[in-house]
Amino acid sequence: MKSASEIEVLIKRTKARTNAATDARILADAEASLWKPAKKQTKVSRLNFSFVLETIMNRLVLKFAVATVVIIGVLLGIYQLSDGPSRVYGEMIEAMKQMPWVHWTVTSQETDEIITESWIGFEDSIFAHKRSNGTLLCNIGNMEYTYSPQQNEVYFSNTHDISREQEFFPIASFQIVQITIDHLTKEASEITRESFFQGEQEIELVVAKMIGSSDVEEVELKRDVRQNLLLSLRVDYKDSNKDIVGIYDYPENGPKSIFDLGAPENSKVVSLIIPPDIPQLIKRLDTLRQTLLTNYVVISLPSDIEKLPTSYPYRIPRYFTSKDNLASIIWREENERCHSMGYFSEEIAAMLRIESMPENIQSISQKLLTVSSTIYKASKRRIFHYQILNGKPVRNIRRGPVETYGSEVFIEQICWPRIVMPQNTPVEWEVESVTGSNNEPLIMIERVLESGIKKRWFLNPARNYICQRNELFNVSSPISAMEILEYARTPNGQWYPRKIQKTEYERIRRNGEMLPEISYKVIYLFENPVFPKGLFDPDNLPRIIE
Amino acid sequence: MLEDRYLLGLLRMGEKDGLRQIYAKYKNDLLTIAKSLLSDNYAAEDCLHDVFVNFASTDCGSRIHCNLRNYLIKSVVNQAKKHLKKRQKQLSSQVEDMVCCSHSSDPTRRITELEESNMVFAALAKLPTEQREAVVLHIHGEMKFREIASLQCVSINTVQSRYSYGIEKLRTLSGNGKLI
Repeated sequence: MKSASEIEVLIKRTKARTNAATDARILADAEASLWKPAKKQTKVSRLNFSFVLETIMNRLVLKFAVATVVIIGVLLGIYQLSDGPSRVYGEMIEAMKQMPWVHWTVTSQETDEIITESWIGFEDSIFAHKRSNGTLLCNIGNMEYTYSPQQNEVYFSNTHDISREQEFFPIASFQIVQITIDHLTKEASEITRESFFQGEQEIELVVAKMIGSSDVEEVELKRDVRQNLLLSLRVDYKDSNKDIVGIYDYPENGPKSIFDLGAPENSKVVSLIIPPDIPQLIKRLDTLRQTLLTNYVVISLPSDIEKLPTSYPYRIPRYFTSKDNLASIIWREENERCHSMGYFSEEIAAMLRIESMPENIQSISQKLLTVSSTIYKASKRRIFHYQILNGKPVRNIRRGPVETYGSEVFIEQICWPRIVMPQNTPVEWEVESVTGSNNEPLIMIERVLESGIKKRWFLNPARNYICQRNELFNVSSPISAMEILEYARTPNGQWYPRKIQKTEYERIRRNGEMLPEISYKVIYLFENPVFPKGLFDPDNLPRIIE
Repeated sequence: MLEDRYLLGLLRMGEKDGLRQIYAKYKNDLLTIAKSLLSDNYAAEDCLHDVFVNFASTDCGSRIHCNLRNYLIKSVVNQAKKHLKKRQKQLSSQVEDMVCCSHSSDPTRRITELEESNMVFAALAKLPTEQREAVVLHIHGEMKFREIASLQCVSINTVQSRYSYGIEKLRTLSGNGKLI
């Protein structure tokens, strides 16, 4: 007989683990029902200064534009409330660019600890960055070198241009500038400017005090008036342990390699270089995603053509019950996700007749059992949620900035999925020409991570490089696959997937047996629909019953 | 703890990332507890699903002021109770069908671990619900007897007794060869 402590150890050792399919299901459902604050805060107050700085630091993408992001933001914000904003800002950036190097440190005011230290060499196009955790980044021309102190390894890659062009500039750079400007223009209550001499150096001191929901209390900026260079930036938070100071100087020289930056000479060097075909293919996919299928209404229905096999286990997980009557409708207008709806009706045929749905929201909703709907209109910063049960709206319409788009997969993402290149992770890439099940030539891209996670994309060049199949593996065992079984064409000749098969390999484990679970979706796409004026006005939505 | 506060902060702002990180952090612990209480793989997954969907859909972020881990464990326990009430079935009949996961790379070890896990879950299923709850929450949930007492609305002595009886019964089962 075992002792009590042995029993306890035995129980402690017993662990259950979720699998990838379960995780995906639970997260998808949880995210779909994610609670949102009733009164949306603006992006400005939500994404505060610490977030902005953290985002910059975490992304490790502080190239030239980023180096000036905080500066630009602060200056624009402050000078927008005073005279001559563009001129002062523009001239200062130009003056900084004339210097051989810009060096700056960001220090915590509370601990005096240097959080980050960075250099930019404008002549040699070098960006170097040091973090307090020992991570180093050096970007020289088109190559990026990263040192990981945990692994004692230096990674070099040629992938940054793709990820940065696509992600950094539109999202981080633009957004951060925008957020910072918004933050200051909306929340600065009092701005003072004064000049004084420190020795022979004339310095302008600009202080902005914040109000409202801002977590920043005060921003102080010092500028060398004669040279028109930024000298320091101090941000005081209401929570004083977050206070930071950025000190800027302009040395003659700076680090020209990752080893100059402090990476040990004996560290292992790992190549993350990817074959030249792949970046080109990814760029092509990105272009197609943005340029094709810009306006559409899609109705996606689970197919009832393929029934589940009769040998299917007694228990059908409820997430995959054959929702014969569930349809989702997704709109995209001018590259903007506008609208998504989930319908639950007794009559699918009714839903197939709703080509003119935009002008018929009210009448359609009255015929259906349940409508769960989200309308997004990002450019107008609006969002409406409502739910209809038995034809009666039961949830309030809310307005606010659009930040998330729900869990729907949009047609352009199915066609041209984003192929992500993980940073600082050794990845094996492969490109190969293969023949698809319909004998069409396909281009296969395979990516294998060190952890054994493998992903394959099969692009069909004959059909505008639509991704005909993608597969996910854990080492050699498949996790999931998605395949386009049938294509269709829009009136102007654009291919799109008509029938999609999704296979989850690890869903069923019973008596040691694993059965794949297969589901189908049929897509009905109406390109270039006419979106009537006022569609997104709350008045056009069903009346709310409190 | 600080990390939890940060994640809750994200969640309060409606950030998906917060939810994902909380899920990734606690999913296996919660699944283990759910499985120990329900003795059914699918029901445990359902339970985990329901807990996270509820957690996401309500303003939990602002209601949790203490320990996120304990909050989630309590949610799992409550959800498991609902499942048990609903089912009204004998647990032992389902235990044989359970499949556990072992992540060991050595195949022999993997099989041993798998068998061991199955036997532990099977043995736990033979305990009365209250005793099972006390054992699982104390060992897997790392909850103090005081916290379990508050959850079960009984005195701390009762919880300690339930725990002792539970462990004793498991010892007996181990003597019978029903627990490795």
